[in-house]
Amino acid sequence: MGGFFSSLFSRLWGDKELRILILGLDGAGKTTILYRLQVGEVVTTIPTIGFNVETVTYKNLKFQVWDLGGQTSIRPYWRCYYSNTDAIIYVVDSSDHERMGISKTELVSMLEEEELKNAVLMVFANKQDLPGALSPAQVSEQLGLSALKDRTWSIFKTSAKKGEGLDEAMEWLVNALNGSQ
Amino acid sequence: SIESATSGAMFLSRALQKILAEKDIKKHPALREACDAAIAAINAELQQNGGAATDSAAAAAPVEEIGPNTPMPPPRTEDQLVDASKYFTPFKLACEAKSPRIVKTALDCLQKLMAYGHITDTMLAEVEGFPDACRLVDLLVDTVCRCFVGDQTDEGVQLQIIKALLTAVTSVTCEIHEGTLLKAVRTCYNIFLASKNLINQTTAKATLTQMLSVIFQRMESLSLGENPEFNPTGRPGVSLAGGDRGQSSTDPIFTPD
Ligand SMILES: Nc1nc2c(ncn2[C@@H]2O[C@H](COP(=O)(O)OP(=O)(O)OP(=O)(O)O)[C@@H](O)[C@H]2O)c(=O)[nH]1
Ligand SMILES: [Mg+2]
Ligand SMILES: [Mg+2]
Ligand SMILES: [Mg+2]
Ligand SMILES: [Mg+2]
Repeated sequence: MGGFFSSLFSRLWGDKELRILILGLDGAGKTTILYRLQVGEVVTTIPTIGFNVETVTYKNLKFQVWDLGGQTSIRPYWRCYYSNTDAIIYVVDSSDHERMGISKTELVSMLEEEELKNAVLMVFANKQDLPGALSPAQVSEQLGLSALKDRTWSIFKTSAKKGEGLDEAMEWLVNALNGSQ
Repeated sequence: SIESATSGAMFLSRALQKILAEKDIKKHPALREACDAAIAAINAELQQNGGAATDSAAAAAPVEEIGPNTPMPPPRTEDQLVDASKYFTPFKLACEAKSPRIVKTALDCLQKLMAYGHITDTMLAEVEGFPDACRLVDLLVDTVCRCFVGDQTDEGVQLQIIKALLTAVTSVTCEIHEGTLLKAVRTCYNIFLASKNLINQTTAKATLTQMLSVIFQRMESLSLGENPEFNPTGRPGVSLAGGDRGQSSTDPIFTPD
């Protein structure tokens, strides 16, 4: 399967490394996800102030994955990174009930940006291993995802800590990017 | 407490092994020697700390088993720090190597050392052939900036330079001032102007935006006297050539050189 996908994929995309941005509120698990995707391990993280960027290989396909800081004071810089983005991974801490509203506001204003008009959206309902985590359906509801128009998107149930849900998401992404061509 | 010092030492050791694992290392015997010597010294330090038997075994493991990335926990207090200044020479040599892969690896490591708090304000550089002791962070930023040699600089190297400089400017564990700060901003701006790579242009611009706003925030908090240590008359004289050890965050941030 990998062979089929990657040959189809490279025919469509050439040797271009696809650009993925990981965004979301501080502490949602963005950096943990980046290194889970890159090396398959949980690393010790600190709050991201600048950016992390790593090449992630999935089924012989190369993605350049960018991880930005999510603290309130740093969110205004997200938009500086939007151009030429193929996909957004929007990470939500599913156990952070109080900040679902803020997470929604940030998501909505991000998706209004012209530069992200064609970007595929993946929402990760992360930290599913924690007690009290909202289900993906509940996260979807709180973020108002059903109202999205003209957007290829999906939501995934993930635990970066346990490494769950990430493969499914990458699999979906490869198909979605092929489909959107 | 040993745990954190060990993790810092482990990080350095892995970073050096990553540099050693690059194919081009054959062309750089002095770099190879410096890496080997530093790894041996780190292992000795780990053993001295005691209780690090398993870790020093891991430190000696081949790089493929360690994995390509090396983020590590931040130190909790200063006395747990591994003294990164003692091991700076191989990173400096690596940045000067004519191999983009080696340079990228070294820059990535230097950025992570800063981001995780392993480079602090008070560390001095002990580098062979460098005349006066200066702040390690000043030497580090200078080393990073020298990796940009105009628009022919490898595009991957350009990106790692931008990443490292943003971390240097925003760091609170190793604040940079004056000539060094100016150098960091100028290098980023030069990459923005000179780079033929669209992603690097965008990133340099984003980084400049964030750098400048951090600089203005610091200036504003300085002029408002928000910092309790603020003392406009009791400030020691300031030199542009580093040696400004002990400068607090209240010192001038941005004076033209
Ligand atoms: N239980 C649990 N913890 C997680 C999970 N993913 C990340 N974490 C933890 O959440 C904390 C924050 O993770 P980071 O990856 O640093 O968060 P971030 O989104 O990068 O945060 P900023 O850089 O500040 O924007 C860390 O302690 C992680 O170990 C998860 O799936 N489950
Ligand atoms: Mg983090
Ligand atoms: Mg982060
Ligand atoms: Mg890297
Ligand atoms: Mg969140």
